[in-house]
Amino acid sequence: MKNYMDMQKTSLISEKKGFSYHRMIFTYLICCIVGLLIIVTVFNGLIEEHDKQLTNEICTLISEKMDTSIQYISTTVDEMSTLISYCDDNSFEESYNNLQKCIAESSFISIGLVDNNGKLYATEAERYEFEKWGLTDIAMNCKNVTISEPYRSSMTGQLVFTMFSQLEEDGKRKGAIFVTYPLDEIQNMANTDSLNDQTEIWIMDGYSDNIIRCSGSGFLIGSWSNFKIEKQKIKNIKEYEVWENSLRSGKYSSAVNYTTTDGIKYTQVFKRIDFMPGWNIVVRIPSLSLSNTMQLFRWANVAFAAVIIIATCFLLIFTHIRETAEKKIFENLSTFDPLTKILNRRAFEKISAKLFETENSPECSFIFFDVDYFKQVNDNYGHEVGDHILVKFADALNSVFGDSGLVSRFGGDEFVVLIRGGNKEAVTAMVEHFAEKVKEMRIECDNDFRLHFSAGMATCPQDTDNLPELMKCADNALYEVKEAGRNSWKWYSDK
Amino acid sequence: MKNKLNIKLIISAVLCAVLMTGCFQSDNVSEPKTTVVPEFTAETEIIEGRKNIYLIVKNLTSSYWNVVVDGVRDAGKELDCNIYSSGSTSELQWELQASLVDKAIAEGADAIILAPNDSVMLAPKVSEVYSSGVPIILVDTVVNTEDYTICYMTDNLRAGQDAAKEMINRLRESGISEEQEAYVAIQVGGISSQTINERLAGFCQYWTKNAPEKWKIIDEVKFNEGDADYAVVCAEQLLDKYTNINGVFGTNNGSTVGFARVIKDRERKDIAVVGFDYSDEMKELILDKDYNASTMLQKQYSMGQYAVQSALDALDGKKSDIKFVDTGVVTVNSSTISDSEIQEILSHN
Repeated sequence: MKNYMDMQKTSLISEKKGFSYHRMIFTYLICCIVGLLIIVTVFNGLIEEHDKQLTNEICTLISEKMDTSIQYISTTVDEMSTLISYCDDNSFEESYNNLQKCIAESSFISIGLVDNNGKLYATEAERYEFEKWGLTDIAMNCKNVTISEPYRSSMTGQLVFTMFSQLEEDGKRKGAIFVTYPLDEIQNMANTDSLNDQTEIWIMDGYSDNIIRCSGSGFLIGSWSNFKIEKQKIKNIKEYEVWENSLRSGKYSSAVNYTTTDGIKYTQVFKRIDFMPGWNIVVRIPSLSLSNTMQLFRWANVAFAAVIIIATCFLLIFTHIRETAEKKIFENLSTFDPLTKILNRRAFEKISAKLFETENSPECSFIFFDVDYFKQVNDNYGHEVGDHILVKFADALNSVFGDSGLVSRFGGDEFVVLIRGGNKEAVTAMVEHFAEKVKEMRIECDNDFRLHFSAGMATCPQDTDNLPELMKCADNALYEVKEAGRNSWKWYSDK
Repeated sequence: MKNKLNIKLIISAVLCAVLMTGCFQSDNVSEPKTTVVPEFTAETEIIEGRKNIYLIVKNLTSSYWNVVVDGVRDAGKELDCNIYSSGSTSELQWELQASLVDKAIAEGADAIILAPNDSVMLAPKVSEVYSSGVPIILVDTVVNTEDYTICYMTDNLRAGQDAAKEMINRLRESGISEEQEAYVAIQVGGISSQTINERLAGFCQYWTKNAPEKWKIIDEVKFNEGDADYAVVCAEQLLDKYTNINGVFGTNNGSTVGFARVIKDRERKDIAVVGFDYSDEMKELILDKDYNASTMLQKQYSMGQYAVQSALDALDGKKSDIKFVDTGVVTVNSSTISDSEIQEILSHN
């Protein structure tokens, strides 16, 4: 009975909650975190796009510089060939000797001629290079200005490239002029003081994946390499391969973002070098260096949002604690009698009605208590003494019946007790024990007087099987006790 | 109570996440390096009044560099000059080489022969020596400046091209037609090595232009970072993953040995092996006619000899138009191994 009643009391206090506060907080947090993740993802996308655009711009600038540089060299070689074609030189020998005079004042390394028979007008070192790199074939077959692949010069030990342009006489080809330039001439175009530390700039052969590093930090600057090695370190290889296919298919430009196995994110852009067929300028920049500020901004936003979420959570928790405390006060007021601290009538009726709803004719006993002559005590000794009597009476009821059932102040000096179980002897014994307690009760006032009570009792299902009837039966029994002179108790069934 | 705990956990998780965002990046703190600069060893009899030539190699413990030292020593004896040698013990120690250059100058070097460990980082030091009037001859590797006397080395781009040419020949000889598909796997050593990068570039360049369209280089290039055992693992991984491999190319001695060991162990006589340097493993494959193997042999002994001659020429005030001499490679396979030129080169190894 005790457990059931306790449960009932607890459920009465905790009912009306409607929704779970904790669930609400949890949902709120999940929503915030999901929202935050979406914002970060969108932001990351924007940063990647920003990186691509910025790298694209840098790449465009550098490739334009390189193109302009190669175009300038190309125009120079073309103009030289036109000049020689229209010169009055009698032989290739004479033209060659005249050309040698230009070397000291120029940026190129060597200059010479090749006639239609493949005879080379050049120094010993140049002849060696022509043979080694098969340059004579290029010279013999060139029409407009043609550029060789970069190679290491015997004269400088550095990478160079040679440009060829055909010589004409009366509209007929009579040979070719070649001019060798250091690769530095175009490589240096890629160097910028502001970007040098972070930016890697290569010229890349679209067919073989061969690259020449023009700029960047560390080793291998100004020498050959192959991107197949770098490719092994790329995580999202599929996206990279799309980019690679664009480069191979001769597309003008394309950008890709990728992460390497050591966790560095790069933005890489290529742009075709118009004056160097098959070759592209490739710019690779770590995303961090491009969007450092943006990333700081992103994390600042995330931190700000996180602070807002945490502050909101604290606010919600604080509000909840306050609300719970206030609610508890109101719940106590609506459930317990403010004077005696036992259940009030409304709460008692609700709990006992619930018992009768859940069980059909539950075995229980109902007792109506009435403090005898309470009105006179109140009138004679005042309300303070009256209230004191009610508190002591309720405490005694609670100490005897509280562990076995529901104890309630029903109104004024009327108290009720509902005990699980229909054993009349046991209940009678409890009432007798209660009577002993009341007998011993001392009320502090001017006159010493003895307090006593009347009680009417009924049982379910022997007397009736529903609560209103049971209460009525107990009330009738009480009435009979009162009629008989009070200070006693009686079962309804005891006629 | 449980729900309260849940809230605490969630809040803690959020706080941790926020705090952790600030902890994602940390600077790598590099420890200061302290290295002892090794002494120079006299390689010839030291005679007062003769020119003092100082040799600085990349790796004192390598057999390849011992051959360079042999070439320099023999030339020193022949050309009547004092030879001193020293070097680093790892091909990453460019700072140590810079210190050795300073030490050589301090000890009164008339000329320096240097095999630079880093083409970019050592360029200023080489330039400084050259500008001071001391001839500086480079062997094996060039630096990114024109301020040096002369450089003797294998043009590795060209050597890579020769290797690709040999691979195409090997595949043709093994009976693969141009209409058939063929696949070649590549393994490289240290990816920061200019030598290796240039060989790979040369190989790819020649292959793209000259190999039949259906003959492909497998995109996955394995790099073993100079670890001999790992080179074997890389070779095994490539052969396991790509079962249709027809040829393998190692850009350096370690990678080639890795391939040679696995090919021999698995008796894959159907796979052509092309590599660099004449290791015992490659020698075994080349001498066994059942295998299809070739190696590119460098002339490091000649590099050493030429370097001493050039140092003395420079000290005599002779000037040359040529700054970069490609000492070239020879292709050693079962057909060429008996050639006198190859036997002469092998006699120094």
